[in-house]
Amino acid sequence: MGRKFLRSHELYLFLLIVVYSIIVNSISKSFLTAENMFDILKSSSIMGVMAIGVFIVMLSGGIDISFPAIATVSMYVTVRLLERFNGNLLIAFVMASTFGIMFGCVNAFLVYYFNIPTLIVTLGTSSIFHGAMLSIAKIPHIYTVPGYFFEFSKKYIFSWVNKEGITIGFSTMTCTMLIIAVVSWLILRYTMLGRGIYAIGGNLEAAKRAGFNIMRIQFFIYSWIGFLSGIASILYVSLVRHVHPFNLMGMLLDVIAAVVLGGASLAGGSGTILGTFLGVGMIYFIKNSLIFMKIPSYWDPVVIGLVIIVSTGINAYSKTLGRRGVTIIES
Amino acid sequence: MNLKNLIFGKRITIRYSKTMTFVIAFIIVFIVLSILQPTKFLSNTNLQQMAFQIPEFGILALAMMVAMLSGGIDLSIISITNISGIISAIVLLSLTYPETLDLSMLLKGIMAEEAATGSLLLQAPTGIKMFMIILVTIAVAIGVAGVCGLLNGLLVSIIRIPPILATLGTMKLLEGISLVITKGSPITNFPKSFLFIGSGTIAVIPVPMIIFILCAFAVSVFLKRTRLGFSIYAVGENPIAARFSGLKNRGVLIKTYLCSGLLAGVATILLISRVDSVKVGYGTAYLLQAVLVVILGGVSYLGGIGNVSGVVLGIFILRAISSGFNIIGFSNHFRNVIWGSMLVLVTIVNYIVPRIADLLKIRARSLNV
Repeated sequence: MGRKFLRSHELYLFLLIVVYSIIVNSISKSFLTAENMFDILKSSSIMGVMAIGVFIVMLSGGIDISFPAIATVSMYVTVRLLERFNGNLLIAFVMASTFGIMFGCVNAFLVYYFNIPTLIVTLGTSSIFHGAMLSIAKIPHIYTVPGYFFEFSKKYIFSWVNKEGITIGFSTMTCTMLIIAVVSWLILRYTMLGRGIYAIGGNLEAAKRAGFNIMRIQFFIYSWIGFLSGIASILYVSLVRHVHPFNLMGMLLDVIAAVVLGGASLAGGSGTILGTFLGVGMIYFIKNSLIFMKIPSYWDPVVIGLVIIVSTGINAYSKTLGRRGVTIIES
Repeated sequence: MNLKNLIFGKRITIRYSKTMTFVIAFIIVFIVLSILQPTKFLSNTNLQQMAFQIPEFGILALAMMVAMLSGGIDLSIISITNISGIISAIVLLSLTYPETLDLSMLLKGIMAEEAATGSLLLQAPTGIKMFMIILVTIAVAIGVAGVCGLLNGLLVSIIRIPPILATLGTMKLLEGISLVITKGSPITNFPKSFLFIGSGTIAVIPVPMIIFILCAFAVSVFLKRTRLGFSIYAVGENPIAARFSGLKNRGVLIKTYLCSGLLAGVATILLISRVDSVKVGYGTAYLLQAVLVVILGGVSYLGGIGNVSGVVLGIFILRAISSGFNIIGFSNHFRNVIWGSMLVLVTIVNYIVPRIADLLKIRARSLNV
């Protein structure tokens, strides 16, 4: 256990975060404070929920780029419906995640029955879902959402007031993210379904021969990411208090960057949920620290792009080096 | 008797070819649209507009096609177009107005107002000097795009990042660099003689169309008649087999993405000289359409299968349909729905058709026995 832990990707990532935050803190003193840390935990929960979904898809050897579209559409439809009818937060979560599961099943259907590459399926369905919403909805913005949405984001599991009179605490949003992470971890670790996801990520044909029900696994993977997109969309509404048709679409690359940074590989079969979390944390630390270091926000994509390239690069290059002594076949 | 034999005779076999299917599909689309909207679709302006829009998109699709033939994908072509457009536009303007141009003002988007007063337009050089400036601009655009393509190639082949992630990363990175340079403001008001490339006509044929035809021809010759082109097919079809037959896969992949970048550079020049401006985010809609048209054109996403004629016909079909939608009055968003469903449907058909053909063959064989 000890040696394996010392060599793990997660440990390095954690050390990287610590070193990075110490450097930033030496530039701007207000970075490493309890207030800012809990704030990062709260605001990163939306991305964290989505990242778990993307991680599971990547674990199975696929990629899903339709999740922002799924989140946007289920967010819009849910809020529009709840505007008309009385509801509460639970109904909102259930509705949004149901829509998410439905959209996810469409993806799974295409991936499983027609063997289309996941990138092409989700590229297509992403523009179908999002385009359909924008062309059907007369006004895709909603500026006033029911009150119970933003009460949710204000609640804390536990909290205290610091010297300057600012409430600091462990938000319900962070709690939601943690519950989802634990549930996903349990599924991946202790159920046949979860082991099947690892199996088809390792080798689809071998998993089929070993008797895994590929259809059930594929439908679970894509409906799970749909479900999580639905949950994330409600978290988003409760945090920003309005519905915008394009904001969530911009999160696509950040989420993928976080998951890749967390040690998942596109080839499938590798990575952990803890790593994904640290990846999300790293992305948020970088973004947040840019603000603290007074760097204009248009540097954001440059940094994210570099993070994707460097992290995938290190991952891929170390694999190449590891293979070098073993085999002469090199594709 | 002879005639009857010719029509009904069993000796006549129709050779199935994908290219023929595309030609027929194009003719059908064209006829249907002409019947539905005869005055608008067949009008001179619409045909001209189509002829101006096809080239830049077509060259981008060719760039995507080269990458997909090698078994990868290049998601960064639009970002490459943006960054090379921005850098070449800055070079063009600073060479054209060497004294009066304030670069910091240009990047704040003030250029447009300056030029509106006519103070800058008066000083544009003419004749051989302008020609040289345009040549330098073109060289810069293609050069920058080539460097970006080379970066993709290095990431994919030497460091061996999966093409999707590598090009996703460079897409974001290049977009970011373009944003940092321009702060999101457009650069406009290029000299008149530069605009000729994108919007001029020779006789009745638009200049970009001529460039596109030349490009398509060059890519076709490159893929079918050169050693490197053939290697791209081989690496796409089966990398391990290619390796064992003595190809240097890494070199081939680097050159593949370099080609893809260079083609994006050519598309840049056509784009910025047609719309007379450049800005981060121009042409983002082309990414989905490029993937769609390449798959529609019969290129396999697994690599190794496909040819230029299929893709070029696919481009013509897509543009004809697109302008049909324009005339009917569909919104941009609804068009996205249709592109997305077409992408999914075409891949489904590509998956099903060979299977049905196999089934029929098996049945025919069992009947014969």
